[in-house]
Amino acid sequence: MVLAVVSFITFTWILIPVRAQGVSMLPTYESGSFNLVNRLAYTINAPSRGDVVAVQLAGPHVVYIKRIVGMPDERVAILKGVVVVNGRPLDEPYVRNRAPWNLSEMHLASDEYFLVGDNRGMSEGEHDFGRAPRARIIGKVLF
Amino acid sequence: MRRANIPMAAAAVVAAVLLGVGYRVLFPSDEQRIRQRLEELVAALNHPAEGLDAMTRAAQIGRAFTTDVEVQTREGMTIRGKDTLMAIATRLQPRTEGLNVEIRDVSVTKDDETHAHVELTATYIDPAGDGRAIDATEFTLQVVKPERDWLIARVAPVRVLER
Repeated sequence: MVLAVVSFITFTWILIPVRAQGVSMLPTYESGSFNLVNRLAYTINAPSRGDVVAVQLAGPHVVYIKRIVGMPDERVAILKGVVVVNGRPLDEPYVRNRAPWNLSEMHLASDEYFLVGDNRGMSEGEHDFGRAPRARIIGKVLF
Repeated sequence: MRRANIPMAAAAVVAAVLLGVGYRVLFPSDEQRIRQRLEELVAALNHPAEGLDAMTRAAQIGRAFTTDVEVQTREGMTIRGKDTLMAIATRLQPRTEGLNVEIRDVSVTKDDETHAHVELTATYIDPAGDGRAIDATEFTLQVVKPERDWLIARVAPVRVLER
């Protein structure tokens, strides 16, 4: 009984199971793979560059899984598939293929992060990426 | 409490719960009515139909909207008016047959007695696959109650990740 209650609390409010759907996080996450989102990851520390996070839509049951590449107050652009932060290209060893995406430089607000999936080989129009406020980030993907 | 009174108390609690449930079923709140309207719309959208059935289905879809409804698509297009929406619903039928819509995380907020707004996530599922969603969009809806029923007056997608 206690185990059931602890499991319920853990997997409802703390470690949320999610299943990656789609190819935008390839090769890091295959479509269909199960992961856990730690909702307590950012209670003390703020999200960091390189973290893979869950971004909520209308609620916590459907989320985007994306990587943080731009931090608050930074300038972010994409030039021929390379993310450029404050004028310098970002080293991203997790990216395998790069299509020639381009995005004009934007200045992130003090509570905004820039998020993008690892699969940069797909068409820019089919890949959801961009800035989102901190409130949309509900936790860090564990593995 | 004396032991003999326990069954009486339990019966009173059960009766109160049943009365409460019965009241809610007979007299649903505005929030329940709005949620029910959305569920009916989703059921109509997911119901495969051809020929006359397709027209009936389009009429069912149209019943959920005001005559001057505005629907914005993710691509930035705006569909104005229920008639246009129904015509599109009829014509799109063969193409949408292979796709099911589900709504998740629905939250309803009443602004006043005749206006409310709804936030939800729509997921699109290929029934031929293994039930996995192939895409998801957050929407915000304005709903109004011109007479008896709540109707959708405006639908707009929310850009979660802005470029």
